[in-house]
Amino acid sequence: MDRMPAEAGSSWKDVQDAMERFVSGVGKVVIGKDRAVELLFLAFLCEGHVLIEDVPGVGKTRLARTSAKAMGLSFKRIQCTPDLLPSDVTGVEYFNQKRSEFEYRPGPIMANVVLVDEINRALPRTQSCLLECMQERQVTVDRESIPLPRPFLLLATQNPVELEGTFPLPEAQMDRFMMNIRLGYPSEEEEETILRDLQQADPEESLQRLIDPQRMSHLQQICREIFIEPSIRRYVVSLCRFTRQHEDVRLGVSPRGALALQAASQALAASRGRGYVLPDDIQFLAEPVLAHRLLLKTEARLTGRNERNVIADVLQRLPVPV
Amino acid sequence: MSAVGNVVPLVALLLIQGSAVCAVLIFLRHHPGLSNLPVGWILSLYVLSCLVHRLPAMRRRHPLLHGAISTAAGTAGTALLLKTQLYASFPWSDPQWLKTAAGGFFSVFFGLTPEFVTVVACAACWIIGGRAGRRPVEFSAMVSSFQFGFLVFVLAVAAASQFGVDTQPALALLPVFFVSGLTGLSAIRFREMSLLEGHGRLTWFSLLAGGLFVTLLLAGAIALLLHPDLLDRLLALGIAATEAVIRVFRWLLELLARILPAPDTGPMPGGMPAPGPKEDPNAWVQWLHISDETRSVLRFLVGLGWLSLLLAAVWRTCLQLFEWIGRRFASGSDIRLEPTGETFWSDFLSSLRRLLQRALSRTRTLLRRRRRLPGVTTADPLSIARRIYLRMEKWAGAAGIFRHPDQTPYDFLRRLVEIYPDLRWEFTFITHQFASARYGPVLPCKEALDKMSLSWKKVCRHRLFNAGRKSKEA
Repeated sequence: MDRMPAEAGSSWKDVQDAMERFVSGVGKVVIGKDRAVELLFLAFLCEGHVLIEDVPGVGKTRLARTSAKAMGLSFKRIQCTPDLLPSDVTGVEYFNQKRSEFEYRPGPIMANVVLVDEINRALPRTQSCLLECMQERQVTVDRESIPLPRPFLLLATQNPVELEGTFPLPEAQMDRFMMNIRLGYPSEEEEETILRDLQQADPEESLQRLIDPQRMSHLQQICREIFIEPSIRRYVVSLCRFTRQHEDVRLGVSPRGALALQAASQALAASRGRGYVLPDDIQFLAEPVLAHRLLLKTEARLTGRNERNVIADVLQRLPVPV
Repeated sequence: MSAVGNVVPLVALLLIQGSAVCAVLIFLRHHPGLSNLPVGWILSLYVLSCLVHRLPAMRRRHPLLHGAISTAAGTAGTALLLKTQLYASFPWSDPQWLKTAAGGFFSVFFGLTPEFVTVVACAACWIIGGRAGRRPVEFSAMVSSFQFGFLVFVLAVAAASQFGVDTQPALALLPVFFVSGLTGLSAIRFREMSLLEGHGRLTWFSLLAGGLFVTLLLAGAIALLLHPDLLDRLLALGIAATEAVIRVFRWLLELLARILPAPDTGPMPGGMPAPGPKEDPNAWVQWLHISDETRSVLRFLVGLGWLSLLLAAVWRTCLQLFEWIGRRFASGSDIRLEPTGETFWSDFLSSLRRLLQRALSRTRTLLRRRRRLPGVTTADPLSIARRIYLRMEKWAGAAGIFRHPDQTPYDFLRRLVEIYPDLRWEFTFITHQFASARYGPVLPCKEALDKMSLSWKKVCRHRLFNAGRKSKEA
């Protein structure tokens, strides 16, 4: 067994401190959504893209904006509309008459954190231009590939109920999102707190940078070094393979999904001050990381099943390595 | 309210068990040699035992000291009872009564004697009473006692009718038994809702009725079988089987004697004297003859064995059926069952099994130690941690809390802590050490393993004292 000797566990304590600062800071602005904030921070640690999906008015855009501000990274926002063109996102080459040459004018994608609001309102070709940005972290304009600034995170929001005039995201794009976060309505007490706190002034305005951007890559490196026991890795693989064989599933989780789950579980372990991944981490993250990658059969949908039910079912049927 | 909730079930349990014991003693009293059996005093010892074992000072003692005090008190009580009830005419200063009592006790091989029955009944009452005093009275314990008491009642009455004995006194106890049983069950249900929670809580009486029905069926079957002629036949069969075995043994010995060469009876070389006259070849097997006394002892032992086996089998069957019915009721989503293994017979049998297992494991350990090569003394720390954790899982499983395959160690820990909040620290420590050893990069050090082992021992001790105890507040 490839076990290491004991070593100081201070490095992942740094990640834990950063997580606590982030959750408490952002939690003052986005009230009652600590789990979503935590997941978002994990995505930051893994440099994974996040799709925030819920009904209007629950704080999707606010969460994305506040998180970017708290990270102290450059932030741009793209409001998707049916007339949005790929060049509006990636940037355009134009002819500079003074210099008599073509110059590249960067689009809003050139930022560390990009909020793509209402992503399903953009045309499929505009959505597709994000594929390269999300996977290769570069844009190609006029036969020239331009790398995006690192770290690069794309936060997209979409409204799952209002589907008129929208274009559902293709599977390839859904698979590129590391997590799908659902916010849900706040509880009664939380809603009262929101009303009270936002009565006078918006706490978002007074929010300061919570994490040094320079340290972000160091924290990401720590997360990548978190130990995963072979049986836990097998558990992740079994989980993903099980979804492909499940009776309700037409398209299961891809190897990219398994990689995302592994990376996210490492980040979760580090953010909880632990140097190794537990099966609990995998189970905690299975739904936000895997559920949106599944494509269910029509008959399963008609019987009222959804992706989260399938993940819960798979978790229940798969024995935990002990 | 809580005091009432605790006292009523305890009194009901005492009445249930006491009336069943009383029925048996009354039945025995009809035996010609047992007419002076002090039934009331024996029952008072039962109540006294419960009270003594319920004293907080007694419950806080170390188990060994507790056992020693309890045994000494029981022995003293029994001796006092023998002296005052059976040997009242003897002066206290004369130790002759002790000799006579011992003689009477060992005369049981020639028939039941009041000394023997008194001592056995006192010991049984002291143990059962102590158990009732030590353990919290739970719903399942109450139901099991009720079922077993009912079975004993039916057996006593059936046996009395079969042997032509007056059944009136035993039947007179039945109302006490039923009233106390149902009162206790109702009180305990109001106190803790212990057996079934959720949808099934209104159907607990069906469970009880099912259990009673099954018990009644079994008791009826036994009562039909328990005929004096049949008993005689069974005993005769046992004796015949024993005699057949001895006959075969004797035949084998004779065969051997025939096959072996006969000794030379001629003069020995060197002027040695010749052996004496030839003896009867069958004379050496005379000791195999079974005297009437031995025969009666054998009859008694065989009968006792049969009866014990029958009772144990019936009791286990009752328990299993009871658990089966319970599981059927608990097939709903939010129904929780408590274990029913805390009653006397069940624990008695399981303690025997545990003793056997312990002896076997000790033997295995000894053999392993001998086989171990010098220098190879330390086991893999991960295996040790895993072994302790698996033992903890097994322990919890015996208490009815199983880890589902999809449950992680920490999920299981939450469940354990819910049910045993006073062992929170031990469970958390063992789980944390196991998880860090199993899933982490660093193996546990010796100190951590020692602490794990200590925690596990604490858990075991808790099990011994609080078997079957469950928190209903969870």
